[in-house]
Amino acid sequence: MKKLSIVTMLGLLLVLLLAACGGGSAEPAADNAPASQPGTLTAVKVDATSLDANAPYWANAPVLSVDTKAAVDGNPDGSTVKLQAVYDGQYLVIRSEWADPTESVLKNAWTWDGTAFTKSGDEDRIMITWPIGNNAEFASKGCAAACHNSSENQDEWWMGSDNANIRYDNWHWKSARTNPLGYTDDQWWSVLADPADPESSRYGDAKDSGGYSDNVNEDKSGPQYMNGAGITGDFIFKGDEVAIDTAALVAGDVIPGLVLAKPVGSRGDIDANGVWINGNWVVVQRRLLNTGHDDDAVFTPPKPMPFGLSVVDNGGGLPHTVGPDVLTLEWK
Amino acid sequence: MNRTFQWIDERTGLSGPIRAFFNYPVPKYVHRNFLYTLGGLTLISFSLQVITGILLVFYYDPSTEGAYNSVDYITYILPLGWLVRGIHHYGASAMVILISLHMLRTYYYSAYKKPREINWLTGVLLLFLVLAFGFTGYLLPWDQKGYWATKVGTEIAGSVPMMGAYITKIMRGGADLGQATLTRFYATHVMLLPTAVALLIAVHIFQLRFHGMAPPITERAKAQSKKFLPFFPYWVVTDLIAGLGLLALLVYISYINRAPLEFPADPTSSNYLPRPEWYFLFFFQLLKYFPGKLEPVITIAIPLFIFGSMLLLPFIDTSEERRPWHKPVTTLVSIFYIVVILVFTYLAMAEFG
Repeated sequence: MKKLSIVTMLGLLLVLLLAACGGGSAEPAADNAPASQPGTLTAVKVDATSLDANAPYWANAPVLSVDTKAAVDGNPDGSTVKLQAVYDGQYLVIRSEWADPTESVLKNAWTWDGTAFTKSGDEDRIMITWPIGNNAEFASKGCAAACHNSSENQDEWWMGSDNANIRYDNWHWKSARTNPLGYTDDQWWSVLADPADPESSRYGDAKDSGGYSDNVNEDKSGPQYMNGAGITGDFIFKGDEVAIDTAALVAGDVIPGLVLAKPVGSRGDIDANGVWINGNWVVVQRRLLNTGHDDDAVFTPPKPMPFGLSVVDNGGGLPHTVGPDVLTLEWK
Repeated sequence: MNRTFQWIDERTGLSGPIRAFFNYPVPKYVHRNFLYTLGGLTLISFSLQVITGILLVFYYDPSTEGAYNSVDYITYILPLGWLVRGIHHYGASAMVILISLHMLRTYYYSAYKKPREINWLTGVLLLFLVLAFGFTGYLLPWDQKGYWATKVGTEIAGSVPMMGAYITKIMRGGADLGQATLTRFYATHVMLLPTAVALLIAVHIFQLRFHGMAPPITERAKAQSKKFLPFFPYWVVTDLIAGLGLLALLVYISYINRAPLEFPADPTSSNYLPRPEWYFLFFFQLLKYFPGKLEPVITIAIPLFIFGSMLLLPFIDTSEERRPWHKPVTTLVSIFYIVVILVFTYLAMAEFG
């Protein structure tokens, strides 16, 4: 009897342990979510939102899968991005997940070889573009109208809107420059300011202070600062920077190429939480439905909103891949 | 208060006609009979359209630059704007359904027969005008759905032999859809059609009062045909209760399913699939079976035949018989039309999802 009790106790313990282990290895709620209608991201109403990528409500938010294609002919296509959305009385939250074999967070980092610095590295990004105000052409043609214009000839693309009254809100999440401080770079698009510069139609939202800056010395031969809190860190946060001291470095040390600070103002009003795990980026972005800022799109549920999506894998702005179709955010 | 009424009456002489209007004797068999509330409900739905339409006009901007933004504002920002627009939007469908049911009731009860031909004719014209309301109102939000449906609709009008191009140009106010089209549709929707409908309703009601209710067709109703009740309060209260039910239904539908507003019209869009309002879907579907040179069969011949036969009905069916089960031809013809409309509407809906 005593023997049986011990066996029973051990059995129970084993069951409890298995249950506990099973709980820990359970798939994220989002993996069980239903599929969305093609081209439609349905935001589900919840009581309260957060930046938690594993919040239980993701199990009920339909998943929109967007196969991203090369924006420029000849470049390789990109990952399939799984999008989900929820909202409460104040916030819209978008969860995005896509495969990326490498976590790229060292943009323009400086590597010390014992005598000099060399600069290398880039970052991963995801961009979500919304029209500011009603925009017939964007709603009909998507990103092709917003930044590539309607010409099928890529040589004629000018990467900007037709006139200054047509503007787009751009949620530009960056793995190296904004994610470490938990925000998305809030930008806007309009007309191309400099025809020679395809990125000159992109502007940062208004800010009072903060934002990242390049960590580069005057003659651009190396970093101006290093991290006072620890030389080997991937990031330098504003306040931790100290003047570079090459005597403290050994060959192979890498100095971050940026000094990071969260912007105060419209530019920093999108909170973000990005995690790279098992070859996937999982990024959750949250913003007020209406920030009250002139340079932000306004969400008024149940009004549908067209949007565009693009992804960058360890690169600059141009070699990005885009969701080729018009995407629509709807509210449930 | 009495002195005030007396003062007004001495100067207008209205008390007599008003009293006569409300005391009008109505056969008892129509009291609390749903089939006899359909006309009153159609009138109530028209009144709701007028009231909500006037409220919408306060905020609507009839320009191609501003129309969409103003409807967007009404729908998503203006307090209770969604409700007013919802009642107007779904009320339009309710009016089509109610007037159709009312006409079917009139048809099966042979209430179009002598001496009520003019009442029938005004009813047919009212049905045509209600459909015209729907067609012109569809464009006003200047969204993708309205724009492309109107483009197709005006192209259909253009298939009329000889005069097609001219008709299309008159409707559009030019070669293509633009500000002139919106202005014309808006003026027609808020001025011409309401005035015409109001006048025809007045004639319709006057005719109804002049001839009285059509003779009953059932033995039970015939037994009550010599018993009368005053129009007020009996019929008025019944219609008002039915009207409140209609309003409640429209409010409910507007609440659970906001009046649709698609993305703004993009004339350069190449992949938009045009589709009309549900009550034109069967017509839209039929067009697919008559491509090319056969298109005028659907666009011209069939509508002309249907409306023509409806207008001529009282002059074709002149028999004394009023019971539909003793009139197999007219009954079967109507059933055939109903089946055709339902089947092709279903096919179109299945295609559009």
